Amino acid sequence: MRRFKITILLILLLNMVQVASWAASFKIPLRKLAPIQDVRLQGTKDSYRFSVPIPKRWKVRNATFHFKYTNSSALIPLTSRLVFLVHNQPLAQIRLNPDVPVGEVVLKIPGDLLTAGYNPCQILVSQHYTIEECEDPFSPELWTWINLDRAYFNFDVKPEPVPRNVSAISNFLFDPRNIFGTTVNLIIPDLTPAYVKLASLVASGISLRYNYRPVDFNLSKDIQADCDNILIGTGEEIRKFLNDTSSVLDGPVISIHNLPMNIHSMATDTDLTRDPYKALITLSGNDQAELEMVVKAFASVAYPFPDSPRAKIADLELPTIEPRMLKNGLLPGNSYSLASLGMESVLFKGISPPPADIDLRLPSDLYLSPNKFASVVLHMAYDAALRSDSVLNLKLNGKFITGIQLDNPRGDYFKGYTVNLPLSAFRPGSNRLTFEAVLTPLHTDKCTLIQTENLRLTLFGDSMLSLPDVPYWIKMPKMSVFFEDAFPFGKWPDLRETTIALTEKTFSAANAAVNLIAICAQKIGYPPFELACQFNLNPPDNSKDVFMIGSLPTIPENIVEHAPLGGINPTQFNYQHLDRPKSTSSLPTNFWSKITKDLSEFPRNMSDYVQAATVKGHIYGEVASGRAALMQFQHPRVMGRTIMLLTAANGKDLITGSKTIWDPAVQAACRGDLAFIDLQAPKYETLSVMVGPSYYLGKPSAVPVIENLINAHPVIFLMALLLVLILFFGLILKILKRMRKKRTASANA
Amino acid sequence: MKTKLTGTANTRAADSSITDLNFFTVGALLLLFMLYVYAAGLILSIENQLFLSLCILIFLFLFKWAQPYLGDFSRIALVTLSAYLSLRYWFFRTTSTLTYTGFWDSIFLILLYMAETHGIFTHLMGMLVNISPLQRRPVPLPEDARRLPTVDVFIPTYNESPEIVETTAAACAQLIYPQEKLNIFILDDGGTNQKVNDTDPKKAALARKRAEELQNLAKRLGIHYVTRDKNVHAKAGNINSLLMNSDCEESHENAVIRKNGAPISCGELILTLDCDHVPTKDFLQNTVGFFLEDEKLAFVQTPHFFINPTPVEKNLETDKLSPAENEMFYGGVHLGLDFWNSSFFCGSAAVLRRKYLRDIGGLSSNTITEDAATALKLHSKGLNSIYLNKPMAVGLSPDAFDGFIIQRSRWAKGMTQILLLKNPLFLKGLSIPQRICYLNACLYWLFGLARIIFFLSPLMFLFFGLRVYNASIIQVVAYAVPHLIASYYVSNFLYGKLRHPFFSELFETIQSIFLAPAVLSVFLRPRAPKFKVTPKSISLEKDYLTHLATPFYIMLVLAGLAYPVAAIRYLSNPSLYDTIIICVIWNTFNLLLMLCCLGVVWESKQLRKAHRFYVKEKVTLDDPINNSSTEAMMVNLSAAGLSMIANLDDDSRSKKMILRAADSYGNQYNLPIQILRSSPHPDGKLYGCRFDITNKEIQQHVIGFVYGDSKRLKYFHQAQTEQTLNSFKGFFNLNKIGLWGTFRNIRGLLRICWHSIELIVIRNILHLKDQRRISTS
Repeated sequence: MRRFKITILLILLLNMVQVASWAASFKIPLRKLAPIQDVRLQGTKDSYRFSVPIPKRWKVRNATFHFKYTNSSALIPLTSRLVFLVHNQPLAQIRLNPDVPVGEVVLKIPGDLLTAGYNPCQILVSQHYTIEECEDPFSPELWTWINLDRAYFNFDVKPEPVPRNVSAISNFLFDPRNIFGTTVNLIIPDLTPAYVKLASLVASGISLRYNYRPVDFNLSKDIQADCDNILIGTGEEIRKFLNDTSSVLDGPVISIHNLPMNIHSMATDTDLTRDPYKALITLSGNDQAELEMVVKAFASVAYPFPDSPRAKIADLELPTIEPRMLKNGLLPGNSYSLASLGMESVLFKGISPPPADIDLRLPSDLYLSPNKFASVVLHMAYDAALRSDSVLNLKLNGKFITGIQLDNPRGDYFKGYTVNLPLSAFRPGSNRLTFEAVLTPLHTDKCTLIQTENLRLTLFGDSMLSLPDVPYWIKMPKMSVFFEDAFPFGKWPDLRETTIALTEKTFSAANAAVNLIAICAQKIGYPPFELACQFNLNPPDNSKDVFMIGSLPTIPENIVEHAPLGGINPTQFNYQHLDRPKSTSSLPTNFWSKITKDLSEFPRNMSDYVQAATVKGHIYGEVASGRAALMQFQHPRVMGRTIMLLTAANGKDLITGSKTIWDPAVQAACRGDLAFIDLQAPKYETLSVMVGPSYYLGKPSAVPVIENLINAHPVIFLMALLLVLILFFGLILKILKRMRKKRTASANA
Repeated sequence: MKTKLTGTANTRAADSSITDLNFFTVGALLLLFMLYVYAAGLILSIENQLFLSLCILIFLFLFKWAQPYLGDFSRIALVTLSAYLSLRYWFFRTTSTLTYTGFWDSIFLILLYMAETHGIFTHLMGMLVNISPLQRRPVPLPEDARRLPTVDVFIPTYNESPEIVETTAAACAQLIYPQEKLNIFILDDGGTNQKVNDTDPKKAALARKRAEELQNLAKRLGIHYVTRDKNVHAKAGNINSLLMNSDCEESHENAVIRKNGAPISCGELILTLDCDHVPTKDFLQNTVGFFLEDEKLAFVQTPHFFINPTPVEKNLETDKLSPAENEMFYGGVHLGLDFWNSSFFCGSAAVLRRKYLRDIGGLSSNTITEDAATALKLHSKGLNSIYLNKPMAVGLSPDAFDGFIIQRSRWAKGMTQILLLKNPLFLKGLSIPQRICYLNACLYWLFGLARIIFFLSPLMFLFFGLRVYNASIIQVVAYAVPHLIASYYVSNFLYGKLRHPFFSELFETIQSIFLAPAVLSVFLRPRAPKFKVTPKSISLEKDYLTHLATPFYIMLVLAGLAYPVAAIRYLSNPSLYDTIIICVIWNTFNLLLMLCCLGVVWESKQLRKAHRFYVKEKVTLDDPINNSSTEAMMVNLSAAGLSMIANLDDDSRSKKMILRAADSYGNQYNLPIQILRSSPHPDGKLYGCRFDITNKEIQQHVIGFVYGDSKRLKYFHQAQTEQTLNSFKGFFNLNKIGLWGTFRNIRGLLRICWHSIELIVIRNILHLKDQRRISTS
């Protein structure tokens, strides 16, 4: 008995230590919290805004914000100030002293100001160079440089316990504002294709809830401490796993618990023996069909979960899906109001108001023809007494496209002002359209009152963006598009045309597959309800795209032969040294260099993007330990289908490789058809090359098969064409000779 | 033998050349053609398109290089490969670039597309027409003159001077043909009852005088003069009045029967000659033989050989450097038309079979190009035609630019009338190739509209921002540039000896501004155009700026202004970099053509009434006073005089001598000449002489000597068409011509200004003198 008491005490102590470890201080760079960059604040009055996300799992006790700044030495300290505001509440005022132009600010932020959600912060400056004389508000010496790239927060937080409500799945556990603790352990009772699919679905549901944040998924047969766990299985399997005989797990049920310290004492232990800050979610059903329904419900982001520890899934009706229905995705041939794209009517106010951005997501296989135009039909109004050099500039992906002059001093109202944007100026996948107003007061003399209150331009939300009807057509392989919208797998958002083929029946391969599918789902914005899974050494011949995952020795020989990383013949490509930006030979750009530049957009090797001293290397069909290889190539037996192969020397590297793919830097570096990922944290250096043959996907015309074939094999096409032409010439010659003979039969020629 | 002229039978006859092929051949041809067109429409990625275009261009060069070894195969390969690139470009334009970006954008975008489509398809049809040109030799006449058909020569005239008619009539009188089977008619439409009884007494008097002169001429030459009551249906009506009203038997031994005192025509064959077209003596010898060999032959056409340059050539001074403008048609295109049994009747220098002409109701009179419409009718009846490429009629081009434009406007209007009123696509009885040949000929004349659009399109973008051409530079390089290179390359291969590169563009541009409204007017009122006689043989006494010059100055200014506008647009709209660059290059080409046009509108003086042509013949000069003879080399010749290189005494100036010469038929001529001037020459001295024509008999001999020998014309013709230029040289040549033309134009304008200033100054001086005189008095 005494021994038992000691054991209980030890467990409690351990639990408390664990809880205590959660209540900690940590330092987070600002760039991890918000998309920021260094900023230069200019003029007599300027500001910069950003938001700090705080997850519901945190209770911020207090925080400090650290940043450095450099101000102009022309400022007058008496009137020049930097103010920091959180929720519009000024927290600090710093005198901008020209004698000490470089400063470091440490701001204490009370915990109650940083609540769960996005907390708006603002750095505001007022800058002056004179008191006695009239001041030019745009004088170039009025500036302060804020170094935000190296700014950071020190948070002192206390974790919030996980509510024992199923609704916490949606609004507490998997929160995109959470930048730490995104590891999720998925537990399956057995390694079967069905369970791998279910685990992939669950992982997808979580990755979707995390929106764009990377998630670290583990797949195992056991509970893992210090992270949220999700147990998938039939009621019987779960009861057996948890040693629980209660009947609450009957039927299709999602239930939530605190994570037990001891997995075998679930039924008997008290709350004290559990980790209140981590959850164990069970997804169960009486049979596989019910279990699948529960998993699908879990994966459905919009499924309404109740505020109770258990939710019985009565029914699930999934929406009708059509190809290329991406989250926030636009489709060719359609028109969208700016409001529907997330930009309600915007009022630009002041001399240089903050720009308004719209994120446009195009299917990555859209043929961005230079002959087509997307049109923006603007409805807008601007105030009177604007100087004629006031403009509304349009930028696409940061590049200036056109400007609209606001040159009526009496103000004006435009309805249907059309701006045509060349479709080729768009990128496959994500694009950002920026409206940037520059409004100048009518009178800007030095010693007059400069009226800025009338500097107003409203861009109405019912302005329209229309995309032309263009075909889907893309040259493959191109891994970059996989990381845009999971193309070609995500063509059907529910992955009904995708199969996961695991070349080995191991948890490492399955774990890698789950991570890859979760990435896929996050890119698409929809769970892979129709995904197929199999353990097979050969990819299926049915018309589906294939994710093939396994360690290198288990990859079938016939696949390795066709993969960019050829097994028999060494693959040759160029390694780079002394990378530096590629330059053109002559400046300024003339007509011919423009052409050569356009031509150079079709490199065989991605290393062409940098000017490098290259070493020709040979890669044999081997991947050394500590590296993973991601490849994309055409299915050797089914034309127009893609295989994406993730492989590594061993299972451990395979899992690590799949997890590194979550890293945005790795995703950005994966291009071409073969990417080597160095698994050495934290940089995960990635080398992408294009070594294999190309193929085309899509429907450029009514008979796409032929066009895709000839584009993939232009030399063969040329030969065939020549053959046809020579036959044609010969036949024409024969006919003409005969006609000529006949024509001149009666008269000599 | 009477030919059955029913539609069905004739259609069968016309298409027989195709249907004679066996099923397998036709099937294979269709299959390969469909594959060819399908392959032209396939969508390729831009890099593959570049690769394909490059390979095909290389093959083009290889086939040209291998032409001596592969012969016709090379020709067909060149045409087919070039057509493939053109078709690919057209498919690309049709499927990829017609994007709606706004109302006005689309209007001009479609206009440009239609202009390009017109250009591409007339080019493609032109290549098909010329795929197998037929060069014929004359068919010798039978020795038995009784087998020869009777021939009537028609010389229709309206308001031309009697001297012009006299030259032609005199040459006709010397035609080598049995005289009992030959009758010559002057068909005077200027001496009709309507004309001689004109309400304006001056006009009536002039008409009477002219008619009288022509009647006397006819009497003197022993030919017939006919006229009619009213001037209806112009030239066609004039010919038809004699042709259709002649109530004679089918084949009549005695061709002319005077009916109520007026001669009627009953010849089996009719040679039509414009009154300024002087035939060589062997004209009938070389043409009549064809009719004896083919019962279904409706007409034989021969080239119109113009002794003087067109105003464009004359003003740009290219007449000695480049082939004549009509060479392309008569030396190239017509040979191709002949292969497809689609030779044109060109209104003159052609022999027609009366029987078929009567069957179709005479010359077509409801269009102003009665000749082409007549040929179309004859072909639609399943009848045959032949083109003999042997110059045997010397004619005159219009001397002044406005005359040239009047002539071309008539052709353009007439061919547009045929397109609208007798569309060859739907006319029964024509074979497919004939339809294409005629369609091509009709559509070609829409070039005026197309050229205007080509000129305006880059300006529309640069000035107004209208997106008329939606393509990136790389697409232009991949699709348009190979199409243009191949088209120019093959055109140069087909017609290089007949027309230098870019001259077509120049000829078309200079006419376009005037032809476009003319053609449009026909579209609005197809039956409205009236026949206008082309003014010829006009003396231009000094250089002057033609009254038609204004549009070219406006166009030049617009093209020049486009550059600063392009710079502004580039700065304000960098996303349209590609389109701006394309438009600037395009505009530069237009500007260059405009510079050439400036040279054309500055009219060079033309004093010579009788135009000279180049010869190289040995002649003998007899001095009747010294009774000596000297050998000389005749280097040029005209009805008025000649130049020769000889070594004569120093006192030979103004000397009267006898020129002894022979023609290629063996006829000897002793013609009196007077030496007018001499100048040094490396081989002696160059003497300028005139024929000393003291009576009509000598004049007739001179005409017979100067114009009667077809070999001489052949020599001149060949000398003109010897030079070829490749496209690069052609382009530099165009630059040179443009700059020289502009220089002449500006120099001329400055001279006019200077003369005006001089006049003002002189007037002021005179005025001052007058004032002083008045004040002193």
